Amino acid sequence: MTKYIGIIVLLFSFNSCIEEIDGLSNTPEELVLHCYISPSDTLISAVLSRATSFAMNEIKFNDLFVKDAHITMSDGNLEKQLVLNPKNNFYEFKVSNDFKIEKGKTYSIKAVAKDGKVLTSSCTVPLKSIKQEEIEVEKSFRGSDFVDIRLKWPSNRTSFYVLRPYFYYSGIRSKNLPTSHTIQFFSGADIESDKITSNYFTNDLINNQRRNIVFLYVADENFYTYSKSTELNSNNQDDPFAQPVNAKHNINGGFGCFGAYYTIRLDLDF
Amino acid sequence: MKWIVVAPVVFFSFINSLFGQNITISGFVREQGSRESIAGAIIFNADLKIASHTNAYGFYSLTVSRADTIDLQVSLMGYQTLLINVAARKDYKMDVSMAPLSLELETVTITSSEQEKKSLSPKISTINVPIQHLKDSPSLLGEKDILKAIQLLPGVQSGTEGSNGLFVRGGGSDQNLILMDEAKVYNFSHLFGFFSIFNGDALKCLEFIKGGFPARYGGRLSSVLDVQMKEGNKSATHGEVGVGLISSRITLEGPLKKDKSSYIISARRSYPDLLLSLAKTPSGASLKSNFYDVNAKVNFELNKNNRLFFSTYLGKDNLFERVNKKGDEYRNMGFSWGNKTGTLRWNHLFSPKVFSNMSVIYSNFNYELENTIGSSSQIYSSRLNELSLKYDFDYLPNAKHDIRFGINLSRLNFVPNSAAFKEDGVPDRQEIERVNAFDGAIYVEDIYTPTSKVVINYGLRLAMFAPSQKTYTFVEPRLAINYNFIKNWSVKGAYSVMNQPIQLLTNNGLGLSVDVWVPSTPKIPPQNSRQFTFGLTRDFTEKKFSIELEVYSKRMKNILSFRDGASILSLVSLFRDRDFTSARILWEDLSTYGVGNSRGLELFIHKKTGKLTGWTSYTLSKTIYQFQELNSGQRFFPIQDRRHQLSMVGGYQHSKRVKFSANFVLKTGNPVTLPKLSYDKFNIDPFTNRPTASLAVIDYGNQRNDSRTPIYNRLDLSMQLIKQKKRGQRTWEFGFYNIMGSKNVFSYEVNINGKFNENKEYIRTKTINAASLMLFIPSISYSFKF
Repeated sequence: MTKYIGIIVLLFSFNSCIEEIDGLSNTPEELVLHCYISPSDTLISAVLSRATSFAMNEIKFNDLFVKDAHITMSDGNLEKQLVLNPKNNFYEFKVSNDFKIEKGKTYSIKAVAKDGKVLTSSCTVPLKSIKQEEIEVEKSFRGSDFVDIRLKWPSNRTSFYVLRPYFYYSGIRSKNLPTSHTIQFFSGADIESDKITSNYFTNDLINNQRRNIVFLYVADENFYTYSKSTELNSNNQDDPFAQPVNAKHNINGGFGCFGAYYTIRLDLDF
Repeated sequence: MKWIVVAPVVFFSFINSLFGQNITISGFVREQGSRESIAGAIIFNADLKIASHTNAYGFYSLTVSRADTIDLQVSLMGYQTLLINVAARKDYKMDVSMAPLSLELETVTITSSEQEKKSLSPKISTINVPIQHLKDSPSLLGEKDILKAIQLLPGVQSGTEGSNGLFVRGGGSDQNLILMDEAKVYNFSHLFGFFSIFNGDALKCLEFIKGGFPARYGGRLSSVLDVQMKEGNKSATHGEVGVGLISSRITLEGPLKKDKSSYIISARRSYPDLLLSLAKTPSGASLKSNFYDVNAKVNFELNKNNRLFFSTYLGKDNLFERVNKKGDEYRNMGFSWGNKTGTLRWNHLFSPKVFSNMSVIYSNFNYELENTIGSSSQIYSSRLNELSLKYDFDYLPNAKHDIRFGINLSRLNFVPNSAAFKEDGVPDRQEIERVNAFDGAIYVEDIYTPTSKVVINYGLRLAMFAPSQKTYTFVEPRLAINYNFIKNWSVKGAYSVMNQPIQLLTNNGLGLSVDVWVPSTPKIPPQNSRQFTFGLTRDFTEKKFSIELEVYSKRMKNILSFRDGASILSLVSLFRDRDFTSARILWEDLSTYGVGNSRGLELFIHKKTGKLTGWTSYTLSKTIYQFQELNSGQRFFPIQDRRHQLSMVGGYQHSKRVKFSANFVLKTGNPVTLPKLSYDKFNIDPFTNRPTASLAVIDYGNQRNDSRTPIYNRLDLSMQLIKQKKRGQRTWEFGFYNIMGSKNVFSYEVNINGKFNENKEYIRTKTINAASLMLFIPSISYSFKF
């Protein structure tokens, strides 16, 4: 957005101004709950934070966390309390034999804030995942800047996928830090006979001899929908042509997401 | 081809025999000196109280009872009224020359003709503003822009500050049929939409219709802007040169063969790139932006019954941002867009009562977005071509009927998406999708005057649109009635059904001309509207002004919009990623359609002659849209909804040498969706499997466009100093756009950032900024007419 406005403002540079808006209405705060569960988890974490009004220009990041809530998770039989870890402000509990995350099972979460606000949600862990060794990977290049990867797996698996490609620079630019590509989403018609095709821009992949890592999330609908809608919400903040779009939450009484997923890591060396 | 001539002759001879022993006086009305044909002139017989109007080509035909002689009055505002005594024993062909009124004569003439009164015209929701008045009104940076003036008419809303968006009676920006010499213009913007493609020097007249549409027009829901280019002076060579802050222009016109044929060519070239090259963006990029356009026309009077015209428009805009990096690497971002039109017309007089015009019309619009990094380029483009054949007849059997009918056949070729990639200068172009469509219509309408107090324009338009796999057919009845119940007073009513099978996939953003024209498809139905209009008109003949009060109700169906969150950049990003499979289907999947309802009251006080000319308009309106897939199915105000708009446009001719003009606009702000809350999204870090703050999410509340920008107000002033020189007339114009420096909001910008404070605590910061453009823009321009 800034770029386009900037160009136009520059055109009328002697006769334009950009001013901060005062007097915005102070929309009441909302609570935001994020919690994602996976059968491979050993530690379950939930984050309870605040969505604040634009009338509030500055706020300490640390103060965005709600630290005095009571959060519990239930698998229908047992209930576990998540306890605040003051080091990172996450509410956590360690997975044990009597309460673990299992495929096909439905879990619910409840957060009660000190002021009495209650947030609830539930999610079901996808019944079937894909094993890493079941995935066939095909990769090819277009020019020196694009790579296509095609992932295939046996049929009748869950229908929501989130793909997060990362790459590592090598050579003189190497900092051993992964750089993420655009997150991609696949569901329904995007998946052709249990195959997804992803392509992404790598900026001279061949000459830089990069290592690519692709994380494939096999997700439940909550995780998928929230991830996709928040990416769109974020991207549209920089798109002067798009109408604003809200994220799609599955938290009753607030914002955020309670979702389930499996992760599959694929190392692709070129 | 012989049937084209023979069939109408036989048909009209038969019809003529049905009407008794009358005689017909017909001919062309032209301007004295230049011999330009004059549209809208009135030929009136006071004894019989019958009248005829010249059509767009200056042709008139008046059928009266046989008599020895008959007195005719020929009049039009801005011209000296003529009184002519004509022998009326047999059909008589009479061409008339009208002399333009000088300022002195104009101010002493009380009234030119009773028949020019708006209370006698069958036209409703139709505005004719002399081009000169539009040219005289103050303008942004001194660029004369007729569209800016049209935005000040009642019922018309602009887009963002300074832009050329045209939203008429609650309709979308694509619902306007813009015709330049009959060719459809698909994009009328120059330089981000701040200026229009219409060069006032090349234009003769315009008519703007927003309701009570005659059957000869179709294909758009909300308005018709019919612009006629000048034909060129048939007597002597003349010209005009102008130098302004944004562009320079030159116009030349003259005879090819004296009194028989003429030409006009008018060209503009902007030079903001020269100014911008002095400035750099914060990223160090240099900007270039420019536009040019050329209007040209020739016409030949082959003989008394045949005339030929060829007119063309060519225009293009370019915007480039270039970032130089170290070494040979550079980034280059740019986009360009342009229109091309061409119209070949043949006027033929079958008889004194039958005028025909056949046109072959070509229109093209295309744009291209190019992104270059190093030696690689990605180019995204979209284009639309239209080739049409029109054949229109104007048949005036007697003084009570003016029957018009015709046929229009068009072949459209859409390429909504096209991509090309260049590696080391070698292009690899992929046309993602091409849609061909056939568009056809036949119409008939009659302007019927049963008594001297009643005029009815009724008609029917049958149209079809056939893209591949689907054929849509439309039946469009049209009706407009004028009842002159007391002298100088009339009530009017109109009903029209309109359909629009071609639509613009657009985001209501900055109007950067990157919108995509798409056809209706089996998935995307054509837009449709039904509009009722009622009006009351009062002429004040002595004070030379009129007042029109109209109310309207318009229901629109199948209005096209992007789905929530989608935008034109969604398409572009797919091309960037070379995801052609998705792109092929994407524009249909990104779109959704809904309904709209607009109601309003409009007041228009118009003074066309005298020392003080101009208008005051006030609009009270409410527009609501509802889409099943937008705003959770709830109703919302679209960006063109404004409750109140007051516009005042005035020109004052102080003397022969000094002219003042002013515009004032005061209106409700436009609806906007402002952020309400924001929060940090926590994601799972795939490397650590722990939550991590990943991005800022904004919540916009539950209602789209629930806020409004502040009240908009603007005052523009200009002064012209005119001097007659030996070789011509020079004019200096000094203008001030937004002289009060009102901070009218152009757009909002949201910033969410982070920083560390002095205690090394991470602080989340967020602001909403309002960008205001054009706070006080002075301008100076010079022109010389010879």
